[in-house]
Amino acid sequence: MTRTALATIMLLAVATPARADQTGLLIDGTLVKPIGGEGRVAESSGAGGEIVMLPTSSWLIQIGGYGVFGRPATGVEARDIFDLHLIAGMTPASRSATVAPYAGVGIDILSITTRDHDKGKTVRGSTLGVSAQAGLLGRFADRGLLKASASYLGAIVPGTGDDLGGLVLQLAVGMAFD
Amino acid sequence: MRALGWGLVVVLSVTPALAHAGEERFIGAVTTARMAAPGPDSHLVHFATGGALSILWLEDCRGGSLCGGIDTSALFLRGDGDQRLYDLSVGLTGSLPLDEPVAPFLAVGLDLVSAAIAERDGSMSRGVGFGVHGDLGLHALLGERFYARGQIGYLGAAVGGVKGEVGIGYRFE
Repeated sequence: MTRTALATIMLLAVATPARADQTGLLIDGTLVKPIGGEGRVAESSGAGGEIVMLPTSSWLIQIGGYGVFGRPATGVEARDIFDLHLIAGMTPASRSATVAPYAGVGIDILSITTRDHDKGKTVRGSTLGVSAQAGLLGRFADRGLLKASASYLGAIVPGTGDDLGGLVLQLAVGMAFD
Repeated sequence: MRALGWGLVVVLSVTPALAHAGEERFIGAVTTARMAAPGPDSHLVHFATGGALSILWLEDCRGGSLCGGIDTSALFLRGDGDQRLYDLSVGLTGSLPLDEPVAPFLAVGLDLVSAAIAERDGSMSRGVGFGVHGDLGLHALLGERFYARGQIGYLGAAVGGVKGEVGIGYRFE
């Protein structure tokens, strides 16, 4: 079933004729699931935005950011993450394929606040991170864009020294431009 | 004070370069701003209120294109007691053309912040730091010269929170 779905997506991506759209503006919902601190750090959720550029048929550049707030809970730390990133990716599909799978790597500038409710302690700071992202960029109607992506964000949390090691899941909607 | 000095250097170094560009819009704006940050129970509560002075350079594109721009802003916020946040930001903007009646825009960028923040134990944290921001908003030209803008976004420098701004401006030659 999964293979059939993937094959369908790939065929759609390859078969669709190219269009001239080269830039997209997207807003997204973002969920950060800690992998390194699972059980000790709560999930964080929020929103963000993205400018997507398709300078050639195979390259994809994303400039964007997001802000997510840690969910308060007893016994776990809440982590607020504010991000600005630049991601360079590649796609095997044509520039304006209906569905284009892609993968990319990027650099993240991060401001992180960690709140420990039990100890009543808050630590803040800024740092750099590295991310690897895979996703699908889809088109609908005349100018509509949809993007679903999963990233691994690696960084050291300022103040605590913990490994951020987070899975960043994003679902975005937006518009494409010439 | 040191942060404001550095901020002035950044704005002065960016502004003359922008003024020499060709087809563009050069807009100065004044906004009122409110910021909320996670409180003791982690829910967003009012942190500070104030205003900002912004200079926006926006490429003069038309039709269905996405216009690129650069926005510099000096933000001054006063919170309860001695809480303060002074922020100088530089960012990239992507916007629908301003020849539309109302144009949505997205902006992300870097911040230099000088802040004094009350901690939960009653002590004050003071310092200068770097951070990031992102904004989503609507802006419009009112006639030939006047300009209006409303935006909401996150500010992740010093205290991380959500910020809203509404303001007016003027388009220069």
